Amino acid sequence: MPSFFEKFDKIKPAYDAIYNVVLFLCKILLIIDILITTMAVTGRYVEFIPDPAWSEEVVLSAMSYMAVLAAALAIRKNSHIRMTAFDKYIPEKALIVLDIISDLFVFALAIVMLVVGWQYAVQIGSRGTYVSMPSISRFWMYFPIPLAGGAMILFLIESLYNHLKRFYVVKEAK
Amino acid sequence: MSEQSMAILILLGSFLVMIFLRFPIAYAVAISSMLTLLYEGLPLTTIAQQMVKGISSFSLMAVPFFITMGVLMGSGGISDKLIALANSFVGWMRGGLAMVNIVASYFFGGISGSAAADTASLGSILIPMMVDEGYDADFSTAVTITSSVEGLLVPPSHNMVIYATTAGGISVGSLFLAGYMPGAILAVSLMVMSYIISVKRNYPKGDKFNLMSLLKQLLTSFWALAAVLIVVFGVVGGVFTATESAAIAVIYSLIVSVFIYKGLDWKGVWNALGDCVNTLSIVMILISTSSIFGFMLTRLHVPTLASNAIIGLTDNPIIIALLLNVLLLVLGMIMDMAPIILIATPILLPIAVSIGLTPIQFGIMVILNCGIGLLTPPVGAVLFIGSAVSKQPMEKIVKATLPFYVAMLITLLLITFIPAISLWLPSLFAK
Amino acid sequence: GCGLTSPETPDETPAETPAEEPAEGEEEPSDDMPEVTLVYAEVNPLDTIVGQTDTAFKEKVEELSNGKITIEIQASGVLGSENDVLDTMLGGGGTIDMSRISAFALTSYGGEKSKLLSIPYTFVNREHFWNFATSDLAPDFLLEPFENGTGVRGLFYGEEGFRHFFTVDPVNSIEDLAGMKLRVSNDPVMNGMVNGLGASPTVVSFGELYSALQTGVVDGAEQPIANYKSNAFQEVAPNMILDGHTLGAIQVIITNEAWDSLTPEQQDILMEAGEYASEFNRQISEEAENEVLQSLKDEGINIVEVTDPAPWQAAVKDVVEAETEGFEELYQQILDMQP
Ligand code: NA
Ligand code: NA
Repeated sequence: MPSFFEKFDKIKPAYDAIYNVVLFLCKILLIIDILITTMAVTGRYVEFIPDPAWSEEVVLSAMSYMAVLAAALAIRKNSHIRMTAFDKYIPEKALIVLDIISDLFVFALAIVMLVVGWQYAVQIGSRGTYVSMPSISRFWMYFPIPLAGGAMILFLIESLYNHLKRFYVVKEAK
Repeated sequence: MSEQSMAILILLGSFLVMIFLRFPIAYAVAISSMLTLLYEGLPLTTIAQQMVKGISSFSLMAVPFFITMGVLMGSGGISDKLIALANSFVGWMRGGLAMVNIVASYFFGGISGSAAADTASLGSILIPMMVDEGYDADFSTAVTITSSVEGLLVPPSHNMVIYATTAGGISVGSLFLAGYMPGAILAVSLMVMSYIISVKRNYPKGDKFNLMSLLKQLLTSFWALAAVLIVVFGVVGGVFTATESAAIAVIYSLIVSVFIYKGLDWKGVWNALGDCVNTLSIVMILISTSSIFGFMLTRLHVPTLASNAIIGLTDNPIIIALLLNVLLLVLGMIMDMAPIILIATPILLPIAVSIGLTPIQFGIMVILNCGIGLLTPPVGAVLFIGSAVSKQPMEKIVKATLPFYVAMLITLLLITFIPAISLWLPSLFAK
Repeated sequence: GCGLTSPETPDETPAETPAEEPAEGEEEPSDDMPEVTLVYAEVNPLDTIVGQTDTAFKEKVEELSNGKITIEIQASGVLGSENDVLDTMLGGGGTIDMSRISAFALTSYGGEKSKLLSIPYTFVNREHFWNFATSDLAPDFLLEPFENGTGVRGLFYGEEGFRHFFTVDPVNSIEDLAGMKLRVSNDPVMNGMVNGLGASPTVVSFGELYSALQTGVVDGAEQPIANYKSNAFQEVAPNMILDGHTLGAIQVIITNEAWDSLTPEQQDILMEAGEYASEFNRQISEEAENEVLQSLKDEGINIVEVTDPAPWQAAVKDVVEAETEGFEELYQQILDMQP
């Protein structure tokens, strides 16, 4: 194995750390969603617990953040749903090539999400606010998309690197 | 070829190619939409806009909440108690847990009104339960997802409300009543199919029925059973909505797991949340990106074009009725329910009425067709949730679901050709 | 019997609509007018008051432009909710060019003027609203989103009738509303109004509202009469009190991009068709609403009239003051248009 791979393998702990931070955020967002919904329900019956008008919009936004961040985690775990029915008929090297092609296309999508999503969030943010919270910019409703693009790019780089490495290892084993 | 047909070809064609090239489906739907937007010379902001819109539906929140509830119940010991209880009820019968799954969806899915929420809730409890008891994971998932469609037919059901509003002048109350029998017939046909498969695959059969042990199990599983009762009575009694019940169920399972059954400590809860996030990481993004794809199909008038294609093909009422079903099934394979109901109803209802179907009976047909569509590739939210919850590959589940698709199609034909199944119950209550 | 019958084959009458001869003195559209298609979003079905208004506008535009301008209406909310549509239009997606929105949807996009139209108990009757909609103030209001850089402009106003409360249990006065859980949209004006009336505003998504009324999660909600009926809410909440807290003011908007892509002649056509559709809306709105109201009464729905609006106005005084702050003069001008 060339020294290139040995050198870059050292970056794995950094990726582990990023993964853990993102997972931590996802758990917190899920907890926030459950707590706010529970509070809104209880607040209808218990005087001192609030039942704020913003609960629905906040829950939906928190879920958007969780969904896109978690989806980036799924890239690292390679757990996204895909059709694998014909995998057993395809040679391993061809599979790696297909993985690389798909990662490259998803990479392009991620760049679009990052760039176009950012422009969109900024533009809509300068024009609108949450309906229930007139002081909070609509930017935050759409910021999950560029954020997702960024997180996807981060994990796609590692994924592409691993495919290349796998490709090389398969070649060496021959 | 017109620009519109070319755009449709790019959208559907590139999507299918990417599926076969093993692209993650969540991203394939977005990339094919992106290519279509580029072809049309439209800015790509639609992607950002529709992705956020896809997740921003409050009813959808039941899915993450119920998945969390299922994981907590599984790791906190509640599920074990429910298994023991279910076994003392139906363990004597071959395929008993499959029957429990199907019957539970009639009541529980009926209350949530959403097949996705039903699969998320019952699936995340029952699939691991069935696997522990010796059922194959793909069969367990197939039973779970197909029976979740009962929840669309048994009231309350938001999709029925959408249909009634779109069809115009239909009583939501009558449509609700019309759903009970078709839901029951669907349940029975799924039970028959499950029984046949269970016998063939020699699925487990437990001890003989014993009233004493049943009573004992009822007692020890009191807190577990209460979780189900809280959701059911809370919703029926108007304490909270179906979506909100999911959050309450999480809090309840947490309390019972940590303080009563003590199957989990706080560290265990924190780790269990990691499992929830893993499942949600697969499901939520699919729902989000599918929304772009649905928007593109709508914008390109695909449902309208498809519906118009069958108008005037024949005047044989039986063939027209079958064509209506085929069309709705095909649309259901690539689109979500609500947009199909909104777009296709105004076009198809007059055709349906012209062959003697009443708007109510046709409504039941629309709901069942679109419900089947939720379980089929390439785009099927309930199939995806089933796959994520059971950690089984999609195509394996589809294969295991094949006999159940047949059972569902038989139910569909019965509903299409025997109006009384839908109309008898509402007629009893008509003034 | 399977219950199916052969479809009735209607007499084949070819759609014989010869291009109408332009009335004398009216200008024939120029031959070199470029062809354009504008995608137009509507959240309601086409058979509603607003849907018919959209159709009237579409037909007028196509007639005046000799078919050179096509309005492609996508109804029933297939392109998304009102906020989704606005986000699509304001984000410059180019996939939606026009839409019919409720006038105060622009409030959360910086519409300070349009917010005044949603202040409770402002318009005392329809005529009052139409005095505003046809006044010199109206164009200022319609152009507000253009002037403050939001990226759209309003073409014309219409209305879908007054919004009223409907409830599971009968309500005969404000006192009966006290303590009730009422579902309203989550904006501050509506929430402030419900609090002012002594009830508690409750968040329930529109899709779950029918079930929420049926099971009793909420005690009531509010909609214009036509929507109350078309969503079958009378089945689960058969009591309506005609308090008319806000008039469902609507407006049709177009994106700057779409507007700028039109020739001045085409822009004139849209404005002229807008005037026509606005007048059309005024004519059908009241009539259609009375019809629905009568059919509800025939069904046995308990409809209570409000004879004295004074206590209702007094109850919401605080929210009216808070929400009109800084625009008192303009708001007073609207109030003064009372016939
Ligand atoms: Na249901
Ligand atoms: Na089930």
